[in-house]
Amino acid sequence: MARNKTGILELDEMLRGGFMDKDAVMVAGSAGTGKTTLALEYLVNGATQFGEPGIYLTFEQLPDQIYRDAENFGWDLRKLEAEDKLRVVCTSPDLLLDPDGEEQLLGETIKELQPRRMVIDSLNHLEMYVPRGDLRKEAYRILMYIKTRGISPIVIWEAQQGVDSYAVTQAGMSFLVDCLVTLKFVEIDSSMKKALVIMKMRGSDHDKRLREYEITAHGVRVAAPFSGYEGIITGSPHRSFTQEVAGAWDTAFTKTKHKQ
Amino acid sequence: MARSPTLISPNTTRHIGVVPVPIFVGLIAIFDVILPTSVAASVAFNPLLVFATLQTLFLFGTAVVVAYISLKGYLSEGSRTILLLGSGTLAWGFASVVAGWLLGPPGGPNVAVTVSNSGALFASLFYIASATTTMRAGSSRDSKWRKSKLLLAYGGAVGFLSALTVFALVGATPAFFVPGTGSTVLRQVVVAAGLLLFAASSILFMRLYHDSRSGILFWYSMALTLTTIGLAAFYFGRTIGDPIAWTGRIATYFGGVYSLIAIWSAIRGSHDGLANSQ
Repeated sequence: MARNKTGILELDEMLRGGFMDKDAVMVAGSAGTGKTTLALEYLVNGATQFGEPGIYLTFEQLPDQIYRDAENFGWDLRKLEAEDKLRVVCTSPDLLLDPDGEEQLLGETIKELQPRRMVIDSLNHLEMYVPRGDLRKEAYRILMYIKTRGISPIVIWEAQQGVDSYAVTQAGMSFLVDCLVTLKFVEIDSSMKKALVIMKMRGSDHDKRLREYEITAHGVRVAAPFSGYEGIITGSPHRSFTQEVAGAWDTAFTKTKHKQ
Repeated sequence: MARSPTLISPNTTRHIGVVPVPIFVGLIAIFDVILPTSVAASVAFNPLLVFATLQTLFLFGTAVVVAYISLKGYLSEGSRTILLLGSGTLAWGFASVVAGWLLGPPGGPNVAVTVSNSGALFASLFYIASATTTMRAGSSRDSKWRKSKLLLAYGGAVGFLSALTVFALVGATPAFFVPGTGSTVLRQVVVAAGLLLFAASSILFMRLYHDSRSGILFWYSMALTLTTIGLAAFYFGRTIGDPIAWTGRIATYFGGVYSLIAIWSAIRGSHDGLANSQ
């Protein structure tokens, strides 16, 4: 089965090799969790490491902002565009929602670039332009348009922090996608950390554990699982009972020496 | 969460916790004075099943709990002190349960004594190493090798004592106890060495307790003190199952219970976010 590697080593391991080819993937999380960074890295790595051109369709930011932010991670989007490996498309959601809007907006670019990857940033912007209840229908139409052209899409969804993993399902969006990656902030030992979990991946095994990740100067780096903690997904992480006891046990025998 | 009020203060509890120490020491001293060797054998009491059950419950069971909590603590924090302490506890518990069930056939007194006393010395080496590593920085923050080191330490402790048991069963080890004659010099040397190391470990942990006032350290060092008294009883005992031996055994069982109280202190400490609980 063909896989689309993200190029983020640990994430690809979690995905058992990468996203399934042509699967629609949703990256959900609250503001500041790094959804756009993760999606951009997927596109940049696709273009530079795997020979897969991509389109970044955004309703959110102006192009200059995107190029500048990408440069901070060492990604030269302008160069990739010049090499026909990437296109950054900044537009308004209503253009995409017009009848046949996706063809008018993306048709030419798809013909030129022959992209294999695409990021839509974000579905929340579409939500502002469609009547309540029509978002799923519109999102489905757009995703089908992309998938039938042999492109593997990632859609970004900004969810409420706290119960975001459930907010995605409550909004009825998760059924649209084949794979759901959730990013969220968690407070552990009085410090704010970021947690990533693959909530679902149709037709494939995947790592079900919550993993810590960081946004570094080179992009997303996924670290070790949060072992010994419970309740991270629900927003109230705490150490398991045995871990708490073990922690107190360890502290008694090892921290005393610092007082000497 | 606020700690629930207790009727007895931690200091009072700890004072009560010290009481068994002079009692056991006194009993051993009295029996040593009043019990002639000729009489000891006639009053020896060795119900095999009872002994094995007591060893399993009070020494092996408690050791498993301490070793498990130490395992979790080591995997989480990487402290060598905790790894060595857990390994020593596991070694002592394993040797005790093997000795308990092998006092009768197919083992016999020599096999049980060999495994028990060698296990005590082996465990005491871990304890003294653990106690001395608390005196200097000893945590490995690299979590990569923790599982391997844990497997090596715990597996090594159980593996060594298992091999010793097999060798003792097939008669490939020097005699520790000769029925009708008593303890050999080798046994006395092994027990004395183990006794000294247990006592030293207990003193070092008690010293830490005086710095931190941690209930965990108090009860654990007291557990080691009681185990030391138990080993001393083996040293002074005339024969297996005599009153001195039983006094020593009960002292070690108290040691097992005290180590559980140390774990209970850790539970209280974790509940209150403190390590210094009662």
